[in-house]
Amino acid sequence: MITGFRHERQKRAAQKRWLAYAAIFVVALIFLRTPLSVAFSSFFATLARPFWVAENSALVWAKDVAQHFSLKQSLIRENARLNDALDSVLLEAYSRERLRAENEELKTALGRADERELLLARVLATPGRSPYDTLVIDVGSDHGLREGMKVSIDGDFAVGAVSRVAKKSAVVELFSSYGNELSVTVGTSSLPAIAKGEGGGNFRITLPKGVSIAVDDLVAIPSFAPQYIGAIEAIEHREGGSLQDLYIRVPFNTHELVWVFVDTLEELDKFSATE
Amino acid sequence: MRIVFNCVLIFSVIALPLALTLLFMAFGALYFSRYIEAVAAAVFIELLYHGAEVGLFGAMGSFTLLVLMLVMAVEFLRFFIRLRTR
Repeated sequence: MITGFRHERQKRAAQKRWLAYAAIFVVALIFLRTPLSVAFSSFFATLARPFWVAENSALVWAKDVAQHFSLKQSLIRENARLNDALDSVLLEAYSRERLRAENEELKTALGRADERELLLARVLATPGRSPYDTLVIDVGSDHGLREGMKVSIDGDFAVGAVSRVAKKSAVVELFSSYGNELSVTVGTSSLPAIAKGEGGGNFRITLPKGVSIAVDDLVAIPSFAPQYIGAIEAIEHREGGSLQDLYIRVPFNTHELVWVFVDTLEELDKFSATE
Repeated sequence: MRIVFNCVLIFSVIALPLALTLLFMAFGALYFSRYIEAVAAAVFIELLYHGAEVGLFGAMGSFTLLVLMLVMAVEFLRFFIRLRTR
């Protein structure tokens, strides 16, 4: 009799536990899948922002301190290496700027000017903090940000689009997020293709074998002023098939991004990073 | 102890890599009984970092559901082990 009573009590406790878990899940869903989530998200972003800013400042300070303690010889070597790199980059930059100006002049002469208004933003949190390929930046609705605005690096490399906006911060969904699909053109012959996000700044494109492409060819988003998403890192031929896979990589580490530009004039129609 | 650990978990969500946050969650779930704070941390992560909804696993709430299921699995295992050792 006592055992039966105990068994009954255990059964009731187990039922209560399951009910508690179900209630927790329902509450979590209400938090995440109703319009309330926007308010909560904005509130939490406001709470977290000072920590992100402090962490960024601390990292900059730590880097400075570490440099003070670096060995003199290694600093001299690093300086020489950077000077060499700077020389070659400067040479490229001169010709690039001249070509860009010529390109702009020609477009203006033909009645098509490229209008862009870029807003500089500091990256507060990089993709490594969450299971999502997103950045958190330090500008928000106070600076006129809206969902869908394109985010780039150096104005030429598009990295993603604003997907959620708080007052003083915003979440940027990277184009390379797993599952995203982006219409692109590949190589100098501008082959149209679909780039599939693989996460971590990587894309995959499947094309028929025999098309003229090579490693290091640029992949661009078709627009009036070309915006690149990356370069071909590797080409893999499927055995016995008629297709080949191109692996695209952005030329920077998405985990080390510090500054980005938000194009406040260009918005994607609907945000899913797919144009 | 639990409150201090929760503070560490919140700090980890804001400032540390995801791998460390997941380790803290796993440790909390194993060390403390009914560690529902892990689910709260998952909700916090989703509210802070979630972008657009892409696919089933990119949907808002899927990460929280996964963490909740793991916490439930740990609790079930704990209950099962206790029952066996009695």
